[in-house]
Amino acid sequence: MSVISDVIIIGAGSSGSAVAYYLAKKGVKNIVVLEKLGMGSGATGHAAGLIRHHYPDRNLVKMVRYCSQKFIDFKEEMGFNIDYVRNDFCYLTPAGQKGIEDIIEMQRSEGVNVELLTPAQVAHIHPKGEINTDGIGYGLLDHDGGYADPYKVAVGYCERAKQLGVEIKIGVEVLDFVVDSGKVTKVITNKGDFSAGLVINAAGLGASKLNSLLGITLPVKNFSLGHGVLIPDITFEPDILTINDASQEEYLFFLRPESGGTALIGMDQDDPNREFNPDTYYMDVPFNKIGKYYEHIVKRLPFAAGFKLSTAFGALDVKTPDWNPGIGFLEGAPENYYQIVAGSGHSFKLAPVFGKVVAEQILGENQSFDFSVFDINRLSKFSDDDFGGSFFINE
Amino acid sequence: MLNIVVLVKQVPNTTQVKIDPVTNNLVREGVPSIVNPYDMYAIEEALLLKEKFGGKVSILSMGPAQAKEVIKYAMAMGADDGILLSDRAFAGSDTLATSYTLSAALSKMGKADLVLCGKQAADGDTAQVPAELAEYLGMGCITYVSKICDIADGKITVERTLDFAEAKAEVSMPAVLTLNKGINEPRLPRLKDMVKAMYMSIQVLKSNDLTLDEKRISLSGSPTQVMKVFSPERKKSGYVLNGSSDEQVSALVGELIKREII
Ligand SMILES: Cc1cc2nc3c(=O)[nH]c(=O)nc-3n(C[C@H](O)[C@H](O)[C@H](O)COP(=O)(O)OP(=O)(O)OC[C@H]3O[C@@H](n4cnc5c(N)ncnc54)[C@H](O)[C@@H]3O)c2cc1C
Repeated sequence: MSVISDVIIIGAGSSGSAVAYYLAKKGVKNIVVLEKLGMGSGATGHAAGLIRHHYPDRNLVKMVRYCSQKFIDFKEEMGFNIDYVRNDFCYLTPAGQKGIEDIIEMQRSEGVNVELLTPAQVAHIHPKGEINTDGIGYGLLDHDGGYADPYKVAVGYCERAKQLGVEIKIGVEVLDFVVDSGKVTKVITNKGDFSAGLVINAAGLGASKLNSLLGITLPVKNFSLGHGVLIPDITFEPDILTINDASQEEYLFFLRPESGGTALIGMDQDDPNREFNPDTYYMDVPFNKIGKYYEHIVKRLPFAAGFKLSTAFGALDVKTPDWNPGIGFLEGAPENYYQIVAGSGHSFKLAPVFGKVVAEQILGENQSFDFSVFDINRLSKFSDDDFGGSFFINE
Repeated sequence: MLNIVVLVKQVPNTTQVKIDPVTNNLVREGVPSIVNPYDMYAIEEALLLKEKFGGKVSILSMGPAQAKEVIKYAMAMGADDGILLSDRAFAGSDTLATSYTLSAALSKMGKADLVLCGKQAADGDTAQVPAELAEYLGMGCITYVSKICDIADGKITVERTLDFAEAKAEVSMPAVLTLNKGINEPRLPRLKDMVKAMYMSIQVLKSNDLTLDEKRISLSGSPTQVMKVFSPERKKSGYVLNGSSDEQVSALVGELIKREII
């Protein structure tokens, strides 16, 4: 089989699916999405789906404002239910962290409905019980937070894109490229060859392997995040606020309501000394490490002490040293090869803006948002020694 | 008051097993271990008996140091203490050598009224260890128990469910029982129990902590010889129903009726 089209998108995660939809909406014909497993089967399908505005960078705040409105309107715009729930989002900062007041001021000037809470106020913010505020500087209470099902978002974009004529090919794995005169002329897959004017690498954990076929290496690393599904011993309504505790670097966690009266905890399971190979990765949760986490959670949120642990699992995403994804045409790479790589633990919520701006950039239109924080060419200044921190706090 | 010992084995979490894309072999390295799913019923039943009659629940396991994790999980469910038999000198044990070694540990642990086990291990599926152990300890043994009816006058009455029969049985204590899947619903640990379990200690016993006949342990004490491990041949292949959704649904329903499934 040999297929010629205008655009090939590799990967039907939240990023690739959104781009397929936005390009099709702008009238681009002959778009093909190649997905080796299933829509949203990568990092997207494992994501917690948290949507909130706490970013210290003005551009990012503008973008997440846009995105969260898009999630609210998703059902109406796309005709697809993504289980969006609007709830408050309370981010706990470590005591002594400087500059929080300025960040809040900036976020407010961008229209974010955020309150700055003192520890005494944080103590009583949760309807299910008191919060222990040891070590906490502030609580940043975002009234426009929410969460949605990331898998459904990817499927929603794909389904709508299909209606607009996009072809989504499931079970097609990209294996190699043919490059001629500085252009990718052929995409070789397990189901035949494809060629296109433009090739977009949105392959998540598979992106680096594709890049290496073209001799491209970026400063990116795989990292691991853990989740636990909890069965509360108290009623836990779906719109109860999310707590995101970033006060203690070793035990960053969030607790949010999940469907069916359950709760979801997320834990930072990154280990800078471990190589996370997606082909052989198992989420093993060593009792001691996870036990320490639970100890911290129970201390912070005593009302959760009786919550039962149903399952714990982990998943991988790809990070960059500054914890932002890399997007654009890379200098020195084939000129028709575009990348949206390294979701860095927080790119699900950015899917709508990725779709919008990437489509604009590709079509040479004015960009609705300044994408310099994501510019893939910025990554050339980093080396492997520049990794550190956590997406929970660096963003 | 009952002194209950539960035998627990760590097995690989087979729901997570991956195939190496290059060699097509199972990726064994780093596969998370879980409590043998059948043993979960034994742990739960022990906790229920303790709640009813009072007493103590101890976990006994044999395996690598990593097996501490599954003992911790049992402790988070509510077990009072745990012992791990872990020594290179035990490596290569078959079911006979394993049950012999476990029996030595049980003798050292003192009087147990009941030894509860899962009906088999999810990795080896032999179901041999409990009966062999009972033999070594000179205890009675009832397998495939689906209900514990009563404990009185030093005797325990149970119901057994076998493939083609149900039975009522009675045995004097101390005794070894193996429990069927579904006899109860194993509880989930609470966060605070996970924290408590993290601080509980597990006693690790080596071969020289036990009174053992060296010829009866490890590979040299194991008469079982594995000739070959292979995947069973697939006898029947499936087929795909084609056509519109409506056509596929009618074809499927027709097939199910034909086979008297519905
Ligand atoms: C546990 C966890 C929790 C998270 N929580 C959040 C959160 O709360 N909020 C948030 O905003 N973000 C969160 N994230 C981050 C977010 O999930 C990711 O950054 C984002 O979804 C990345 O999307 P993607 O489309 O770039 O990649 P992916 O979702 O990984 O998609 C890549 C796709 O490409 C396919 N593919 C790979 N190689 C090939 C190939 N050679 N040929 C064909 N197809 C290929 C894969 O099968 C996959 O479907 C979380 C991530 C994890 C792991």
